[in-house]
Amino acid sequence: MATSKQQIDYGYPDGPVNEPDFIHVEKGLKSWMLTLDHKRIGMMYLFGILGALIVGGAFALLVRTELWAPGKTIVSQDTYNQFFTLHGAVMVFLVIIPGIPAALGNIIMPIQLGAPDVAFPRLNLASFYLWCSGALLLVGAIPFGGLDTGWTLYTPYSLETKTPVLIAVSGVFLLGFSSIFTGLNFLVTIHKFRPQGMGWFQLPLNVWAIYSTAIMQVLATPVLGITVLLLAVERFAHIGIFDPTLGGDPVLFQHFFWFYSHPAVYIMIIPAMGVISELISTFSRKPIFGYRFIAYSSVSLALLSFLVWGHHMFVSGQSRLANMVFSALTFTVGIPSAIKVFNWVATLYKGDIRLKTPMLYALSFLLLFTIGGLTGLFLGILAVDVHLHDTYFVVAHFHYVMMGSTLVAFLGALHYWWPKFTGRMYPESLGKMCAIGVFFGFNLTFLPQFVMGARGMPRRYWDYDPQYQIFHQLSTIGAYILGISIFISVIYLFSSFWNGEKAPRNPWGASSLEWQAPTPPPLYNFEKPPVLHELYNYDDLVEVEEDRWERRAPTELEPAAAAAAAGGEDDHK
Amino acid sequence: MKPIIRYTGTIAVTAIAAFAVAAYLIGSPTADADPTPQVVPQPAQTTNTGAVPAPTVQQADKGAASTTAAGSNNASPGPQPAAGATATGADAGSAAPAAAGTGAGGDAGSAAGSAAGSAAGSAAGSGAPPGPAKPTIKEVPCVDLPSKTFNGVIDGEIETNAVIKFALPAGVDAIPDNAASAGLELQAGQTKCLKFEKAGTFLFHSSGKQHGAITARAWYEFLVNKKVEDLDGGNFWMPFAGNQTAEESDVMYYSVLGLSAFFFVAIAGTVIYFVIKYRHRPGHKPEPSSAHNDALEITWTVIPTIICVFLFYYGWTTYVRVVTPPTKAVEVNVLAWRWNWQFTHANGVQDSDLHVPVGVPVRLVMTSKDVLHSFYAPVMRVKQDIIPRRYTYAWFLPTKPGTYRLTCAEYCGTNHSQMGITNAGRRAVLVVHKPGDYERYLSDKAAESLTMDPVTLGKTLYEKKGCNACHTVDGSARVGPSWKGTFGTMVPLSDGTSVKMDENYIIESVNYPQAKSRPGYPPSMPSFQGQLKDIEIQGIIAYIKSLK
Repeated sequence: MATSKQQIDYGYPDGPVNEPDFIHVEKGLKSWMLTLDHKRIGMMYLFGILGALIVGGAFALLVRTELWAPGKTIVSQDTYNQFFTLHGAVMVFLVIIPGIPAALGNIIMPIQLGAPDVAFPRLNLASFYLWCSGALLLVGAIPFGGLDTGWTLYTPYSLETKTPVLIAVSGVFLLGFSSIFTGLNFLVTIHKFRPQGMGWFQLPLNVWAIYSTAIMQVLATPVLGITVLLLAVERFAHIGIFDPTLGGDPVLFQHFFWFYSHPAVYIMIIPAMGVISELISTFSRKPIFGYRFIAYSSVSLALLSFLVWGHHMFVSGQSRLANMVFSALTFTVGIPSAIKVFNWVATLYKGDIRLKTPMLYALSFLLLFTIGGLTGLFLGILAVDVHLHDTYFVVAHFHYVMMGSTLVAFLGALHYWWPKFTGRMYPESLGKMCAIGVFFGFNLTFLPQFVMGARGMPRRYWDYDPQYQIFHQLSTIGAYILGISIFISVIYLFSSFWNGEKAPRNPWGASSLEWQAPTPPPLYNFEKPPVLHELYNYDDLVEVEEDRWERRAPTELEPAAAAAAAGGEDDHK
Repeated sequence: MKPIIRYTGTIAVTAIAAFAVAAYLIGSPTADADPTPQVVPQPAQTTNTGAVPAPTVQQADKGAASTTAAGSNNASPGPQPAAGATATGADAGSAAPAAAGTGAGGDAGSAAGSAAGSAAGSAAGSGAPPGPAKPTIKEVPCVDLPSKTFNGVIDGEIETNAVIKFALPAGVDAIPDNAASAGLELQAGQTKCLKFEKAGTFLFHSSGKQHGAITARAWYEFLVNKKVEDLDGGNFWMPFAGNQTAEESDVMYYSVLGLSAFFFVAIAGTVIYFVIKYRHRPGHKPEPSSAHNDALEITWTVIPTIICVFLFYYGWTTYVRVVTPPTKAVEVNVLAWRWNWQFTHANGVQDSDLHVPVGVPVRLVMTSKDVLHSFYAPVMRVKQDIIPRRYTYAWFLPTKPGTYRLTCAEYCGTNHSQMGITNAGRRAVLVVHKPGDYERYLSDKAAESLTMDPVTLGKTLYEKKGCNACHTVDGSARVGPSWKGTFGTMVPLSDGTSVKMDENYIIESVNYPQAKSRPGYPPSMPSFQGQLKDIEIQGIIAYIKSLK
């Protein structure tokens, strides 16, 4: 392991930076539109994704408002169906899938590698413009009548509906390519752009997670592209692949769709797990527990995720043998997930836990992901799933995983790296309040949905029995708390651009390479090659003042601390 | 490690207390789901000495219309709806209580829903079959225990073929409005037992010109209109388990619930304990500790693995038992479409509610006419997608008679949440019959369409076949054009031409809905070719004709 022991340079103290940072290196709209800089592309992704988050969130609140009372509350059935379809499609395709990898991964991952940029900067820009075109088409379906198929686009309904399926699936097709390009780019970057001395097991876990995600993006997304292409061809040429009246098989569509969309669930969650590993280690001042187990479990989740799509189809009429196989395989994904949770909890042990906003999000993630994972057990058990399938229980379960885990991790990551790439601190106390608001709002929204689902409330219902009303109302109140908290977060983050405190180079005392780069980083990230230190070792990082850490040689530390540091040497070497 | 135990205990107790409070607050689950039987407002008129009867008028031809009770005792029957006495039509289809009143004063002894009552008179004039050959209301000796006793002048709903005792007070009589109501003659103070052999609305008046109506419906119609009993006997988590095999999957559910609760409390408790114990504070430093521990990590890999293997195994074996039907089962064919169900029984009886016998395995053979649907009966813990051009199967063994919820669980478009809803707002139900009643249902139901007059048959089919999902009978447009007032007119077509709306156009539209489609409506109507008998098509034509 490359170690800092022989080197005198312990990283960069805060000081005057010679090069202009990437935000100010060039000015003007054109310099952003044609930029090849990964950080600028990532920033543009981030704005797009936050915009889509607000659109998707607005649809969520409209859905929840409609469900305040049985029957018509604000809109008719058809409009409601469009609301939940667009909520799902926007959140999945525009927010959660690209959220951590394409936006934050783009900004941070190359710096974590100590690299000047990604391997293919032009491909990176192309993927951003594909995302924009896809987003425009998907959201553009609204003025053309609004899609009403559900984000799952199940046939034969999606073949028959008069809503603009073609426009929307063209958008999904382009978004798929955007995702593939990003994944391909990151795979090559991680393989080829590591600095000398950084082996696979000196990679930050965030990079491991992005690597696993990239594998899935490259291997699974083409299937989505083919599926929506077939759907489009079926719609205008009636060739009889999915249409039962032409001899096609509507269930085949579900197989194709979930062959992509189940790995997509892991495309969403694995980057979140990577982020959480960083946050928990940094804010506990403890090396991550069981680094290799976490790294391997990311990769094994990525591979296993290809084998479990059939658990979305336990009641679709597929054979019992298939149900048995998919149920068994489904449980295998539970094991790496459980390992990760235990490792994160063990990382907290004997740490020095600092409850900054990102850490609050990380702890929320731990609890919410545990609930999401445990409720997954119910759905993996064939006998129980038959009752719970397509009810609010499923809705609550996947929101715990996709939103309670991925989006919460995204918000944590956003707060964690915000000072690094904007150069400004966000308001800490407001951040904490919003993090707590997100946690409670989220649980209030989705815990009642588990009960509703177990009591037999089917999903995608505009109207419901009065017995469910109290649960729906709790859920709606929670959704508003959640929505307001996230909205305030987005507002104060943006306003901190102008009135935030200037951020130091390393506000959290984190050990990975991006914190050695100037804040915000210059065009090629580093002024001189970064120094590799032992990852997740915080012994010689010293908090010189609030939110300002510097690296000191062990000799510079107080004797007691130095002794502690020596004793705390990683004993797995 | 004592603090761990303390925190764990606190959290567990808090969680349990929270759920208990929630369960208590939500209260008896039956309370909020009860479509309260309509309480007919008592007329405000108090000038009369006697108690004033409170009428409800059930109008067969205006299921969705308001039920108006007007208590103007001294007024001549005329359109005088009492303000505030209008109830919505939501439970016009549910059993409205037969309000009994004893009028003591002169000609005011009877009260009538005057506004609706007089309208009902005209509607019934067109709706009733012209001169039935024989009266269907028969007087029978009052030897059997009467199913229902009416005092005073009656409005309300009764079962067909049940013996009803009518006891009229002095000063109140009943005179049939038309030939269809023949048999309803009652003199003041008379007691008489009647049996209504045919479903329908029977109109009558008193010498005091007060109007009344009795709606007779088949006994099984009362069952389907009952409030669903899913939560009777259920608990906070699950509805009542009405399927013999549901117990097994419920045991799995509760075991995993316990397991999850344990793991959640353990993990959350540990996280909270660590966060409190190792929180940053002045003078606190991280203590050195191992960054990995093979024994520990292998332990927490192996334990979840073992648990998962057990969960899979029991889930799988239970599932196999739950989905494998016994060789002998009552078979019901299920056809689903946007947005209704059609359950076809062995003797050819078709209905949009599922009727099954108790204690006998029932096997469903299901297919769809258009898009995906899913048969879901929560009390049976049975769910199975329904796929066009393919048969899928489900089965269950009902253990307790009752009326339960039956829903569609796979998104199917506009009215997905209201599959099979009637104009009165009632959704499709699963009726589990007492022993013997299923056979009685099959034979009575088979006889029903033969004994109905064409308009009533058409009206029944309008709801049973789900026509009401798209076509209104009040003139307003829904997914499809309204049926009201169009018969005999020229209607415009999508291709720019127009066609006379007559019998031939109706038959063509039923069989080939897209052949002559109307502009402004999506071509989403499924074909009913081969699914309606001639007599049923005639019924629908007669019903459309009657909607002037």
